[in-house]
Amino acid sequence: MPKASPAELVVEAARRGDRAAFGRVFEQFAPMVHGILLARLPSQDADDLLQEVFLLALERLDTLRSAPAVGGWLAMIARNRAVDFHRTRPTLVALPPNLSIADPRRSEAAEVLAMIRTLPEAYREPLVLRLVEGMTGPEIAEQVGLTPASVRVNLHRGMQLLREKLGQEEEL
Amino acid sequence: MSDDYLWDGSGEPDPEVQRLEKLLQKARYRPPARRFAPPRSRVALPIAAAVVLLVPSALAIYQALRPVGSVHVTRHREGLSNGAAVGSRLYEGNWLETDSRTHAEIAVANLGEVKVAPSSRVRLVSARQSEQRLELARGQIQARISAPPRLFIVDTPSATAVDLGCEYSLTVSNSGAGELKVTFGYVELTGQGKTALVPAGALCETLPGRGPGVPFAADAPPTWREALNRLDFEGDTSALGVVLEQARRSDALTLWHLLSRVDVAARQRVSQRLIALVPLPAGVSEQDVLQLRKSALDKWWDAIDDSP
Repeated sequence: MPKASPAELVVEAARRGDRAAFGRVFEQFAPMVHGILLARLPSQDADDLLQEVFLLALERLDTLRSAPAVGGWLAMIARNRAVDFHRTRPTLVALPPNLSIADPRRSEAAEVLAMIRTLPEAYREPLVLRLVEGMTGPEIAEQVGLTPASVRVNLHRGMQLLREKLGQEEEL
Repeated sequence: MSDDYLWDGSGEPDPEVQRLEKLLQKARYRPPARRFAPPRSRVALPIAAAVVLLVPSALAIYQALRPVGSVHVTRHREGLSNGAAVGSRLYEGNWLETDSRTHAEIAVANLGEVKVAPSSRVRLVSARQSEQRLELARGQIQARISAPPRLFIVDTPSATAVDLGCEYSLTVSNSGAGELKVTFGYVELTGQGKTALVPAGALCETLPGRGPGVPFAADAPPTWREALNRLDFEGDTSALGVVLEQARRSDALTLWHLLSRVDVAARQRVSQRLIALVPLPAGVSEQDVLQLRKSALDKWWDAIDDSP
């Protein structure tokens, strides 16, 4: 029987009701969950929903199939919560991201993030996790529960599309 | 160009990827400040002055715009309490006051419960998804919280207790002095520019105007506690000798906190004694510790926390 990793031991402890262990799960996976939310929502909303995702996870810990699956399970809760958020919030008219001229780099960052959010869904998450959260491809694959090969392909294609969009932006 | 840099940061750097990394890192997840708090910088005073000037108007705006959050008062025992009836809601800004015979219990969102002891005065400061916050003006509460860290917070006159996933009791005297006792998990106490990380099995005292003291094991001998108290709250440096000589393995958490509370000359004595109790972890030098480097102190804390 393969030996459980330290991360798996922590998840097992959290499932047994060890709240300190759940705190460590939070610390370990918060950047990944934040990245998944940020791939779908503006920065402020992603920050707000982060705690909610972990609260939902805490309530549903008994539905987690196995400790190694915790990353994919958290990712799924985050995706579902982002969808619910879109569905339930009032219709708002988004202000242009460059409305504030106080910090041009901040507005450029918001523009690039908005651009990433227009890409096909499969490409958004790996790009945000790599470029914003600073995770490597192998780390993304391990935490989100995907194969390294599919993450690599999605990163490559997503970056290609993003370069094209950035190029079009410059031409305008 | 190969995509190795995009994949795992190896190979020839891709300038466009590097530019985007630098540009987008400001949107990255930032964990809340944790553990060791470095000394305040000289900019703290002007910032504090600005806060003093801005807070009244910010409060006025907040009062006008605040969303009304609430918690449930679930149970009373013996008599009535001033503030809320069983089954009622305690709204933001409301006080719950128990008399000398009354116990109350508050359900905090879906995070857990807070038991309020007799002769206590508690206010609901905020009840939101991102923060559940109470104020304990006097008396005692016992909190049992199942939530991600830093979601449940209790203000007292002398410090703020931040839940890191835990069970604890918090007592505040009429003078505003407090005592925190953690029975499960961790609680962070902050105030007056000081931070104390209190694990299960430890206590921490707080004083108005002084903030949290250093935490200590609940089973520490009274003479040792008395020496620590003189050192920590009265500035009696002659007590340091007793504190160091009589420190046990379970007092390592106290010595770790003392590192950043004592002056440079005393720091090396504390460090040497702590090394004798819990060796420095690999990759951490005593020099790093004496310079209060955060990463070194965090690693040592982990070693203290992990070893039996």
